[in-house]
Amino acid sequence: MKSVTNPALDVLIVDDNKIDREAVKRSLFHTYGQGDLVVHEAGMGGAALQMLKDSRFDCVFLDYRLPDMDGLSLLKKIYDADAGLAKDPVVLLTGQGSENVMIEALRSGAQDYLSKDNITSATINIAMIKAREIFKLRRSWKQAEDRLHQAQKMEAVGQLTSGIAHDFNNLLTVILGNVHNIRRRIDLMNGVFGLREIQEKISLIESAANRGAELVRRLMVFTRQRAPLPQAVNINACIQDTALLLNQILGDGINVRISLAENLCMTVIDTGQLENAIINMVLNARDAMDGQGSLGIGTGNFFLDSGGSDKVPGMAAGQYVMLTVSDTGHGMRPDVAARIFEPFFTTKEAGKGSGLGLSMVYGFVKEFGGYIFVDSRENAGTTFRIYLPCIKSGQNEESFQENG
Amino acid sequence: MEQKAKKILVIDDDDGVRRTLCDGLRDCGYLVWEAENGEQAMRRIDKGMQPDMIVTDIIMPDKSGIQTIMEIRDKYPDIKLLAISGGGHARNVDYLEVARKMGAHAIMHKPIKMKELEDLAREMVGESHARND
Repeated sequence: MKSVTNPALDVLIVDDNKIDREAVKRSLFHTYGQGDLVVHEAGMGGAALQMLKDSRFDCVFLDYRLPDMDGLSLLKKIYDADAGLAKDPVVLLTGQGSENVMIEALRSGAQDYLSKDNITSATINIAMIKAREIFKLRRSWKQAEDRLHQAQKMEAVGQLTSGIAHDFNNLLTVILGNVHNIRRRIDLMNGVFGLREIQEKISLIESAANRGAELVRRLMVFTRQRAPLPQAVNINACIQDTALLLNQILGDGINVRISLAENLCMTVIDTGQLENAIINMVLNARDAMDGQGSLGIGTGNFFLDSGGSDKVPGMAAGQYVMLTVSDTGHGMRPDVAARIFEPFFTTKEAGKGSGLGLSMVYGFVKEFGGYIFVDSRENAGTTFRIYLPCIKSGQNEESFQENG
Repeated sequence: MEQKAKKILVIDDDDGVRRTLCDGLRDCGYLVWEAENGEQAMRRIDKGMQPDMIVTDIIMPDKSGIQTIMEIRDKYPDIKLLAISGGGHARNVDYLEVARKMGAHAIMHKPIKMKELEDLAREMVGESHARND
């Protein structure tokens, strides 16, 4: 069965009848050794729900009839909490074995069902194996579905962007072009009264239109309608450029600490996108702090050796430049933190946030082969960590600039 | 010494863009005329209104900029070609890159920076001192 090096399976049995719980337990231990299986028990639905919230189980055996709620409602509660997929496989145990209940159980999300008349070491073990396998399949199916949804959203934004961008760039050509043409005429009118004021107003139009152009450019890069401009850079320089803007964005109540590592590795990125990413993270930090707190931006060299990969899940070994942006704001619940990189996900009220800021940050980091992590604790603050791959020795700056 | 005025043809289906680019280039001393699409442009050139340089948008109704560029490269290899576009991709194909491969001497993304356009015109066909009244 199980090898000794594998951790023990955690099984939860939810049944108000102690004799029934014992029957399931006995049948399980018929197949599994004491070290291979840990059985947890709950007699009430409420207690079970709490245990399911607090920890993970490799399989849950759930009685259809419980004193405080029936098994189906408990199932629905577990499943609703995680948008369609409970975090643990469930086998529903039914007393009378009615067909309707069984069908209802499967529809409510249970992976399998078992009639109590039919509990033997063989049936219970098969039900558990089956439930775990089906659960694994459904989970990978759901993950694929989530990725598809994400891709579809991105495609929709992309189509919208390229349609709008084309018209917008024409409009901006007219605005900026005429600013230029008018300015040249004005230069020929030296000494005319009120000229200075007109020039100032023209500058306002120009800087607004330039901001519009930059916005379109970023949107196009984000939705891959325009290729980014990769350059080999020391990101400290970009941070120093962006830092000039921070006080304007943050206001007086927020104190900014910037600590930049010396001898930072070079990395290849689009500097406009990096600055945009920093600003997006800073804007989120500002909104999390309600005007009071402190914001930290830091850089450092980070080496992940091949043996240490478990320290940073999913990250390839190598030399990285690390960028951290942290705040002392109200933090996020884990379910919110898990979704912040999704396009259109926002906790801000309608009209306040597009839900695209952090997904742009994510897209940018992935574009350049990097990783992004968020650590957040409610009422304590949030830290974003971005790792961007260093340029390997032997590569030089020039080899990256031809792509532009 | 009288220098011959340099002629530039601007092709764009957007009235505002066309007028803006024409105004700017005229102010710099070029002799400028315009066309709304490739078809109209070709008719004019074939009638003898041959410019030194053409600024053409890429995505236009009727005859596309790419077709226009190819036709001009064939018939009038001396005309300098600048392709402009407000963005637009078909899958991974950047239209401006296609335009360059098909013979455009230079490309420029919209929004067009007039200063860059004027510098480029000077670079491609030289200064001009036409009277534009």
